[in-house]
Amino acid sequence: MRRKRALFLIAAAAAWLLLPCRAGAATDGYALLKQAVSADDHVSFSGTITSLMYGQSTTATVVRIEHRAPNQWRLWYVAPADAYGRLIVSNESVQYQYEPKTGKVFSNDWISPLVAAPDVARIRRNYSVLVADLATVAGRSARRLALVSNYTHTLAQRLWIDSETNLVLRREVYHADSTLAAKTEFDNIAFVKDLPPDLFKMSVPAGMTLVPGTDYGTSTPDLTAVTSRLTFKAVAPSELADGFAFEKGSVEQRGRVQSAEFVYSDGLRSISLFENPTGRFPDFDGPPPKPIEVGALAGKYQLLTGQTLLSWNATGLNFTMVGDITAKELARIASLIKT
Amino acid sequence: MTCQECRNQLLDYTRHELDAAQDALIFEHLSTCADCRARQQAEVDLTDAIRAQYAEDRELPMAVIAGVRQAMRSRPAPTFVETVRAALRPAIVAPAAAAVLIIAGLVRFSQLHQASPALTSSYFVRQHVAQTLGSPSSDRSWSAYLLTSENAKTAEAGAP
Repeated sequence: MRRKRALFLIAAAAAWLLLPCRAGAATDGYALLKQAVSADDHVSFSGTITSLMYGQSTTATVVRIEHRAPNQWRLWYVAPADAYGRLIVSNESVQYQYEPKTGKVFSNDWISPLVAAPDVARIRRNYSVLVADLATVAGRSARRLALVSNYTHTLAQRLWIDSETNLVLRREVYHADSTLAAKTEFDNIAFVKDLPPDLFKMSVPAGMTLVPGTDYGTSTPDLTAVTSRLTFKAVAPSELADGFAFEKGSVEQRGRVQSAEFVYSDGLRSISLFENPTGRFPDFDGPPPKPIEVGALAGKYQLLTGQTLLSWNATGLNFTMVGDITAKELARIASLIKT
Repeated sequence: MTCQECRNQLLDYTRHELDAAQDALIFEHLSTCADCRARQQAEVDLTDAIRAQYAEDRELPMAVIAGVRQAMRSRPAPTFVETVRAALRPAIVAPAAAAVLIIAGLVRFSQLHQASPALTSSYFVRQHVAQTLGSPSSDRSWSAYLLTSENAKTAEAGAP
């Protein structure tokens, strides 16, 4: 079934890319992509977004979203059931998460990376951007972009960009084997001049308690700064997947265990490599893991909430990789880590 | 050690009920004192003879049983000090102390090796999502759902 879907998608993508482009096809796709990523700095809107994550089981979120340019957001979750009624208000620096079920308001500060600009130069090195004909999404005219890997020549993403505002109205993310990994789409959207500031006020209502949210550590692009904080000797991959390079790293203390995270990116996709000195597999929550060979070592992988997780042990360390790429591809990169 | 001190403990020594230090002292004394050694040998011989005689189970005559019961009833109950002293005999204290040491060792081992909270696969995925929020591939509503769900779970787990 998965293979049939992959073949269908490859054929569909090829046909889609071969469609005759209109005059606008001369538009610089990279420039359009850059404008699309930062479009929400300039436009305010109100709408509903549905996101689908494909995997062993498909998961969906439905969110009512209000945005006041440049940096105010209000997200109200309609689905899935466990998030129903959750309200998130943020200013891209601090985020308040309202949980009506428990009467708690969580203050999260992990959202600042959202304002990071895309590395267009790296994307240009690794992906070709093709601009195709106009289409309609949520009742609006949209330009279509296809990002194709310069190495594998497979489709990585398709974007539908609002012709008027450059906002991304729809996005499809593909695995390296051309299977669909995720899809996000505006079901409806209305662009507005402004929205009432009160909608985005971060206050704690009577009867609710403000508490700090989970901390995810601070990352730095300085690799030496990361490794110098470690109490164990980390191992770096001698090679990476085509086009990937070290982007940033962080050190987390989880109870008594110190864990390092190294993030590698090709401008569009990211892989995290975690190392810790436990030398044992993580507890696999979610679907049961499957065995896979990592070079000569025995590893396990799992598809979890739209990400692939691969874990293996060597020389007293546990290595775990996470990314939106296939387990086979992760295992190939993992086998290049010489311990 | 004097001969008297040795003879006072000779029975316990023969039954291997002395602690290691006391056992060693008696052993040393016996190796140099022929008189005490003879007494110890007599004790061993007597024990062996009795064992040989009663190697087969035999029922005690009713008169003997009645006599023993009579003696037990007539004997006064042991005092608190006697009870404590009996409880502190090496045969009881040594295994108890060993058991305490083993339990303490196990507790310490478990503290050292199990205090680390298990790293779960969803922890790694959340950490990855949190660190790659700025990626052009990141989905704002999905990522926020994943990360905020962890807070919600924590709150629900801690709710009374």
